[in-house]
Amino acid sequence: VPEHNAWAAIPLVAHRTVLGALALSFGDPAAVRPAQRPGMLALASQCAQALERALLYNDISLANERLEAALDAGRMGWWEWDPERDRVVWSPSLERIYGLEPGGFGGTYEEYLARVHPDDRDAVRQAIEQGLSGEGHEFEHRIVTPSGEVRWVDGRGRVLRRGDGETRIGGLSMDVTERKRNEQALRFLAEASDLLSQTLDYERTLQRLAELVVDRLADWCAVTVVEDGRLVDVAVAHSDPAKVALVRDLQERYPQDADALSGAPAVIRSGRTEYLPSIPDELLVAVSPDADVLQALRDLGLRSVITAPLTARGRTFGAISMVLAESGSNYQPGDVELAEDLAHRAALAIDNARLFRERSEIADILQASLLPPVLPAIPGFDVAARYLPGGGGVRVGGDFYDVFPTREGRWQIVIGDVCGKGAPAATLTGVARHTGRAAAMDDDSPLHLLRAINAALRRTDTAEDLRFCTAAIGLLEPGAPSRVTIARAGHPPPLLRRADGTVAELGSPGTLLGVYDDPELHPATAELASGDALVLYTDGVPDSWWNAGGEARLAETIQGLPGGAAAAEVAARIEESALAGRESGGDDIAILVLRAL
Amino acid sequence: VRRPEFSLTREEMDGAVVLHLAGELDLGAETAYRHEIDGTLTDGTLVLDLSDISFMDSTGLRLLLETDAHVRANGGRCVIVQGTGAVHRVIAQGLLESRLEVVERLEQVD
Repeated sequence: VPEHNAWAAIPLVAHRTVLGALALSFGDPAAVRPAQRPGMLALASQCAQALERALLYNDISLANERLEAALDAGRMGWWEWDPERDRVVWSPSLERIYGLEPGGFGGTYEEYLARVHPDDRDAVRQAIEQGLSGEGHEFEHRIVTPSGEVRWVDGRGRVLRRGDGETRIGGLSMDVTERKRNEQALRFLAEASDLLSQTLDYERTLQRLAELVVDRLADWCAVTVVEDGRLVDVAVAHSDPAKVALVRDLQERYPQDADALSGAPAVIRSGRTEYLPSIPDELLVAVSPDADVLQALRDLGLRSVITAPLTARGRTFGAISMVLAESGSNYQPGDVELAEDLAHRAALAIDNARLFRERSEIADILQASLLPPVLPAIPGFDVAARYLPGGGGVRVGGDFYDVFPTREGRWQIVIGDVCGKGAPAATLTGVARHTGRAAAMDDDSPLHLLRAINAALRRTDTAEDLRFCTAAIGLLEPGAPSRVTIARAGHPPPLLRRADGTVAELGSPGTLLGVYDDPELHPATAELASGDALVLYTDGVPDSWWNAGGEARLAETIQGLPGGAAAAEVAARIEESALAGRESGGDDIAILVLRAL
Repeated sequence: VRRPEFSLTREEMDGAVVLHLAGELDLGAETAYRHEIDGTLTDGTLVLDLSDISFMDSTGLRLLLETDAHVRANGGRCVIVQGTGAVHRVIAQGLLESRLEVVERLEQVD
């Protein structure tokens, strides 16, 4: 520094780190004397300390900013509590979790407790106070933000005991609302799926589903479906049953308008979810046809609605509506996904139940068409039949029977069993039954009928590689005595129970039908006296006893019947006895009984 | 009474395939039976040893008739060992002794 006469430079050192240098210059060289050296060093030392503090402060505020950013990203905040002075400090990030502006937290323990959900408050207080005498606490609890939103917080506190005997407690809190919602949603969906899979009675299932929704997700739930072109609320649930009655009453007076612009009708038309985070009064005014309805709607205190479509196989046939009202909260966007997931599951369950119902109805109609709706009255005879489809959910079986008049007072008695089950068997059953009836018009001998059925089955194309049918046909000629001519084609023997209780097999074995072009058949004739009963059955009856000599058991059962038993009683007792031995999912059972009076 | 499970074992004997079947030949055995028979159908001799079958219903009978038809269509020979119980009864009832190649005991197969 040439224009000065004297100068000094002293390094600024703090904690062995050189932070800079202090340069001093003097106009008068005489002013710089060795004695001043300590003063200059002291000055430099103070400068170095000040500089270090400034740098450190800079670092700390940077670190603080970074910490806040990290806490925010993790939805976390820190806090510290001095119980002695009741001072609670929250980080701005924690204030944000509680829905507060920075500095919005008042800083006392009681204020913190006031923000805890009322239902969790006692437990929180207890956990914190217990933790204070130990290591600290760890818990999850709900909080309520100033806007009324409920959030879940995971809180952990550690007790810090300082040397001066003071106790502080500090820790981290994390917003776990999302995780809690997901957990609850998964649990709820699992429960709902379980419920939906329990029964095929879908009206009752939907009512229970609506109740489950009200228990977890809503103050209200309604399930609306299109039935015969009309909108029907098949299930309505509310936390307050009196309100259900109120709504039912409203619906009766004002049926849902299928063209309505909002609500279930609109969702069913569009197939798209409707989500109203809040319900302004103007909307109530817009949808109310008159002042009464408007008042009723206002009284319900509706706050937030999600209406999700019930869609299966590309068709929307209903909607599920969830409403929040008196509980005071509103649906969040995340709830929409849950509602849609639930609606999807419910729709599949309803669709399955409907398909099953339709299929059962078709099966019943089909089966009924294969059996005579009413047995004809044969003069001098008492006739009864029993038919029971096999288990395993297949309603159409292959068993059939028929009784019809031919000519000159003669009657044809038919029992048969087509191999297989379901629609293919039903087709063959139809062929067998109707061929028998048609053939009897030319020639009513059992031999002729069986041959005609064999030929018809041979000509019938089915999906099956091989199909066959067993049958026993009797030609009854009433008289004194009556005669019956029986021919069997692969069928178990009809039994004749004499009035004296003895039981005899009728007919001889013959080739089953549908497999060979030239069945070998051996008709046999027997006489029927008054009180004799002729019992025809399918193999489901003896097979019910499985491996224990079914034929013998059947004969015993028939033998044990009282002498004057009516045909209906004979049939019922055989069925009862067979069912006692049958396991679930057994074969069809058909029984036909004729008793000579 | 414990109902015997359906079981199936396979054996080669003098150039013929012998399937020993035991238990109940009904709907419950169909899948296992078909699975085995699909890999067994040849143009040689197939012996179905049914002497240990305790129960056979119309589904079981259909399986037999189908197997017999397939083997014959391939130019093979199908022999059924019917035993004296359940299978014999069903075969007799359908008058099938003259339609199928049926013997009572395995030793009778030549």
